[in-house]
Amino acid sequence: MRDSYKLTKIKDFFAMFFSHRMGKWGFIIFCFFIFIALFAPLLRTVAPDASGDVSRILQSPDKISWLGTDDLARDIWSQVIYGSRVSLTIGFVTAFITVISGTFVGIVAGFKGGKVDEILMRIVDFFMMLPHLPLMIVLAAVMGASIWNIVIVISIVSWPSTARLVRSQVLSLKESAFVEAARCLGAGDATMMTKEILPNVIPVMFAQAVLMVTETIYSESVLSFLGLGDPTKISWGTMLHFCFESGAMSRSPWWVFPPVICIVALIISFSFLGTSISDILTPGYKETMGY
Amino acid sequence: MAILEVKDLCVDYETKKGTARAVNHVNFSINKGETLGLIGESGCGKTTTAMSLLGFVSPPGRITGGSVIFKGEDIRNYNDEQMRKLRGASISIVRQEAQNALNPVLRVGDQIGEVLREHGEKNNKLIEERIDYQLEMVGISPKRKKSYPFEFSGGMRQRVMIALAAIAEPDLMILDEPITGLDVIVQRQLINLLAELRAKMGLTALLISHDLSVIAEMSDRVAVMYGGYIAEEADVVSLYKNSKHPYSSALIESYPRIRGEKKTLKSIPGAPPKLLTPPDGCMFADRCQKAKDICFKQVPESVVVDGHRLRCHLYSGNSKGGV
Amino acid sequence: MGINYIVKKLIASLLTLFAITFVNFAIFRLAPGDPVRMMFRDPRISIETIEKMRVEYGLDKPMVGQYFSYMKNLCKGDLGISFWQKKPVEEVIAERIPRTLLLIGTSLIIAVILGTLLGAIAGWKGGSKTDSAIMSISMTLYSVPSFAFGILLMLAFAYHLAIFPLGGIETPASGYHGFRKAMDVAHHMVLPAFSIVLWYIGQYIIITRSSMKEVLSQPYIMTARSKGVREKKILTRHALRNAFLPLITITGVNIAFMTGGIIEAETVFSWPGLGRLFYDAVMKRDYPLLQGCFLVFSVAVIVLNFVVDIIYGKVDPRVKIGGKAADA
Repeated sequence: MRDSYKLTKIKDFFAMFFSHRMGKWGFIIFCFFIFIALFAPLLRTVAPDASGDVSRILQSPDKISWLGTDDLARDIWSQVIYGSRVSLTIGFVTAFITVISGTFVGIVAGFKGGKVDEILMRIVDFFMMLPHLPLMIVLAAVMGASIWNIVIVISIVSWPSTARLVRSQVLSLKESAFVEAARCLGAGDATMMTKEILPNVIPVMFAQAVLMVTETIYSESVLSFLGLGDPTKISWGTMLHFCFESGAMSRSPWWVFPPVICIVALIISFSFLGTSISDILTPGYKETMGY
Repeated sequence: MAILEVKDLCVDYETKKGTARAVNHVNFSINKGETLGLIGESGCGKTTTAMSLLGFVSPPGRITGGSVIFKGEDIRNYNDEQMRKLRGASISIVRQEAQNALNPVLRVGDQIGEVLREHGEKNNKLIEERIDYQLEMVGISPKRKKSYPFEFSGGMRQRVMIALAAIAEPDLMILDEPITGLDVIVQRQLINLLAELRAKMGLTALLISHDLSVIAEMSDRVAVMYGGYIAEEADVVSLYKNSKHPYSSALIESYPRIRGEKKTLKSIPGAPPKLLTPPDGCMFADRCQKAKDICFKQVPESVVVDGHRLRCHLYSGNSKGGV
Repeated sequence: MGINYIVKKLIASLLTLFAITFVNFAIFRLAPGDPVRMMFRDPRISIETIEKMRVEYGLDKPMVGQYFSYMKNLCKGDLGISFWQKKPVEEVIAERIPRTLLLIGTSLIIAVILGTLLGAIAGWKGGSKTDSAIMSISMTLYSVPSFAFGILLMLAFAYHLAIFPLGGIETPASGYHGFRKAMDVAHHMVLPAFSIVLWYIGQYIIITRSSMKEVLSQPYIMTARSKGVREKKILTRHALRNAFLPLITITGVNIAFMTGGIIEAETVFSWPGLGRLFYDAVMKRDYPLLQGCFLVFSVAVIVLNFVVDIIYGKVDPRVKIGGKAADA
């Protein structure tokens, strides 16, 4: 009975999701990038970091290099293809870390309340007060450029917003009847948090995870553009950094547009996904849409 | 003279899974100085009925039939501006006490006075006098008109809502669960206040509640609503003493009495009908202990028996003139 | 607004300020590797020079002692020497602040006015074509990083159409004075300001719209309608004021986030402000300068948050009167 109820809920969710125009388009663009990232080795023409023929420096698009070459005669098409891997990997890994850690802090703070809550929230507030990009830049500069450092740096800046959101959710859940019932039955704190509270914050975590992927991809592109990206892993932001620093920007639009378009398209796809999911999770949406 | 006459009113909600008829051929009228109680379980269409009187049915809901004749004119033909002029001035509403029913950043007095201002009153001195008078009438010191809603308790805010609804001396006041969600003592005070208003102002009202005792105390006539239609309508005393529709009887028996013999309370078995997939026959047939074959097959017509207007097959044989 | 409220906010701000100086100290000292080696990546620097620097910066002392000398210098306004500029950090920074304020101030005013206006319209017309058009545009704007706007604007308007300069704050060696100079600066500011505005405006539209929709779903709007208040008045008197309240708070929260746009735009257009200085400090690995810039950004965020809190206290009667609901 309960399982079938859950199933119709999930079915409703997907029905609503695909009839939400933003959700549908976000999903299509997202799948496109996933496809590119997964099949990058098959789609590339040459290795993305292979320096090419010196005579082919800053070559405009032709039959050999579909999207032209950069100032080291590297193939732009292959760089763009492989760049999707960097963005998506960093995006997913960071979102996972921030949502898990933010949820943990949020649940503990919201559920325990009192002093624990106050201390944790003070820390959260403090982190939210720090200027985000400057903090990321400083940390990345001090820690050195690598993919993992970028993941860590973005996680440090991003977890507090999740913690805050989850906490407010937990506070309202704490008042609800089923939690009180479980408490009356003598459930311990740990059981309550994992068995009663956690399953009910999963929708929020899900929506927040999508938002975090968006913000992470954004932050990664900015950090890389500012020259703090991993020099061994070419990302769209790094491509733009090299392009900007080389001074060849005006002469080689083929070097500028592909990474810019990819960054924007990927971020938009995730914002669309996020908006549609939070629309669907908003109480009342289901009713007004007539499900 | 009937101030309000609702004829064959139907409200449908269009959903992806089909059409739900929330208000189903509802008929009632309210005479001047009279209070009609509308009672029923939650989701039976009481509030939707009230909202359609004010023109507040918005998509996916839609009024699909019938007429609402207020002082001789069908307000379903009114345009937006005519409806606006009607609201607050001719028909006002007090709804269930809610946290933000009053605007949190505006002073209470200004919010009461706004009713008069928006309906063309320009004399500020007069408006202030009216505000003072109204506040006094609902038992709040006029000095407090400069306060903000958050400085008031829930009961006081509801008093303000009553003052606000009464200031323009409307022809009809809709009281939609006016005391639900408040403390028992506050409820009693508000009932007394409303009774006083009835006596002083000659209030004409539509009182909506799920609480039998409130309805019994404050109404002249009662309409029992079930599954979107009015199951039975009668004089208040007659309905309580001598209910005819099995649902009305079940509803009364499920309610405790303070005076009189002790009886075991009876709950009504089953659940209210699903409006998306309404039964072929009577809405109540599934839960009715007296249901006959015909009850499951045919929708009962409205009949009048001993002054009770009801929709029930048990009485369709000895009809003395239906609608 | 009670004096208590201001004092409480002030103390909170001061505590945050103190914590930030600690973070600023810690990031640069606790990082992996020798801080002096890190600060002077130049291999030509001799061991003796490094040792001298170590003593000069007090890095031979234990950590606690280092922290105290750092705080002492900070209180005197001494932020160290920039290696790249060969000047005291505080001097380098002080020169940049007005330029950044000019750029951010202009962009913010334009973005806030246009953004809240469009957002309010979108929220008021919720669900209509106008609403979804405004929303799609603002979601797109919000998704494009400010540096990407900058690059695109630069390619289009500076290189190809050549109607705006490529970068900088004024025409070098022009000798302009007075009004001519102001116009020259304004001309240089158009593109960087535009790239910031485009980014900010998306956020303001989204925030105002959701705030507006939230307000419109509140019971008091229904009360106003049932009082027969005109739609126009419901918008101006009942909805807008309530919608702006959370907007003020969110603006406060967002300030920390918005520092990003200024760094990106200034970098792309070589606007000689704090943002570009930050980028240059990173590129030159000039750590004292980087540390100083970070401190200035952090302090700015705290100060602005404090100002926002005070404004909020003035506008919201619930804070102004003192917050306790009287149950009578």
